[in-house]
Amino acid sequence: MIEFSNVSKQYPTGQLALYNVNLSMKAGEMAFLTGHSGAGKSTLLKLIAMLERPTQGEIIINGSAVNSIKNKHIPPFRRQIGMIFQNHHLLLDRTIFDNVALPLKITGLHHRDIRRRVHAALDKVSLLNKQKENPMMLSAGEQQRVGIARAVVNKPTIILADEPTGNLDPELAQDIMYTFRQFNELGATVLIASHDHGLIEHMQARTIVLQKIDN
Amino acid sequence: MSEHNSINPVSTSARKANTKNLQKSFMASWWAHVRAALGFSLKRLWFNPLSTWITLAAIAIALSLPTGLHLFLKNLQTLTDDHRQIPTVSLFLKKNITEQQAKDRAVLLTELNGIERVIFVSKENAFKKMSALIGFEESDLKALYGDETPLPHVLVVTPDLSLTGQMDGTIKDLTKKLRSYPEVESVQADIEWVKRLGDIISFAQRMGLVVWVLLLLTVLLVVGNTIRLDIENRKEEIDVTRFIGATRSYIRRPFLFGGLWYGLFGGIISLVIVHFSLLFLIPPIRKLSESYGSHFTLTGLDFSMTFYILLISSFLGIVGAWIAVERHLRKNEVVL
Repeated sequence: MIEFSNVSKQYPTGQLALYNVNLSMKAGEMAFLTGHSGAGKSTLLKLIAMLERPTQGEIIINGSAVNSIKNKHIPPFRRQIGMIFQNHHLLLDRTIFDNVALPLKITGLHHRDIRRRVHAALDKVSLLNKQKENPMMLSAGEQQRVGIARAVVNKPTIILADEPTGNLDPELAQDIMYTFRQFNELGATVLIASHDHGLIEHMQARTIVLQKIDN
Repeated sequence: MSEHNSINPVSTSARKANTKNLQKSFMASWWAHVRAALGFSLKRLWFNPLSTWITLAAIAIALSLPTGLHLFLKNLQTLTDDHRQIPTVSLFLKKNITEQQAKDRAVLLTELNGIERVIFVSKENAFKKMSALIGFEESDLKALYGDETPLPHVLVVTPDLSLTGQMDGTIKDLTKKLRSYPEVESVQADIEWVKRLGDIISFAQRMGLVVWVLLLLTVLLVVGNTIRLDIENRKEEIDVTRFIGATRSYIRRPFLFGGLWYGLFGGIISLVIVHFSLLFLIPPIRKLSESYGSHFTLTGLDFSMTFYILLISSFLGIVGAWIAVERHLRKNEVVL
């Protein structure tokens, strides 16, 4: 569950990224977040993942008020959120397997369970046969799918994606979106920031539009 | 239900077992993290071998200086502690005294009460040793001084202090007595020298403390800076791991172990440096001490000192790394 009430975010530079945002998503819902570039889509996702804190208003994620979460409780909080970026942010000095295993290693799971779950996640994005390769050897679409596998391997309740198909051709983009839908059907709340209107229409999901603010 | 539980001993023990299991699994995952970080940081060292070696060399050199100084002081101290050898009284005989006369006097002295041993050092012998020490051929020196060596025969007298106990008075009386013999040109009691050596040592120890502090600080800075560079290179990795929910201690751990390795390996290399320097110094020192009839030998590092040096260097490595990581984590929030 994600809830924003009267949320504003102003960066220290003075730039007002979000103003008075109200938003509510139920658990297990799937939605698209659109708006012009610079409308604050990324900022909104960052607020949910606690990469930024709001300057005003209240955000409630899975029942806990983000404002009251102390710094030392951020790591366990982030483990319930899987996030995917336009730039996949994979670690290039490790194999695909190790990249996907990272969130599980952090939680201290046994290797046997790590192996089982990494294989399951890679299987879902159809990349099980590439697990020993380096991210550099993969195509852009495959890299993005590795990013998705890493985001979901921990079984997060919320999946956030920031322009996940920005660099991909339409066919691959559609593929990725269907992958997200699958995870949504498995019970995760999915919020995808995108400006690809054709794709969003095609997916027939709830669309949240951020209006650009003039200041 | 809870009341029932607390009464029933079986379920209490079952609960205890359960907590134990939880603790066990926590310890197991903690240990798995530690092991992974240890291995990872060790492998990481050799990603950039040149910079690793330079760092290790800097640490080793910084550590070997105070360690060497410590050894030097320790050896000086054994000179003053060893009452059987020191203080000695050296009798420089008159130039016209022959070797035989000197030897006779030595035998007579040995029979005196309060004298443990008398060693005769002939002028030829002393001359040989001197020319070897200053690195001249004996013949060259002879050409310089003529056939007659400038050195006198010397008797090195070791007083028996166990009989009298009081060092100061005994030596003074003995010196007076020895000076009265007709063969003796001058007497040099090492008592002054021993006192002076004590003063020098206490001064040098203080200087050593300053050197220790400065060079340990150097180790701290070298490790801290190396880890800082390592952090800069792995900024992306740190951000990603932080973002997917890694705690500070998880991120800190491999760097701390990196610091540990730097400190430990640097310490080991410094011990090797000190050891080889010692081997290099032993022959001339043995020669020098033999010519004065002393059995003084250089003492190397003992086990506890070796242990302490490795402990200190490892600790400094960890502290240096800790400072570098904390600075980074405090300054930078995750930026992706």
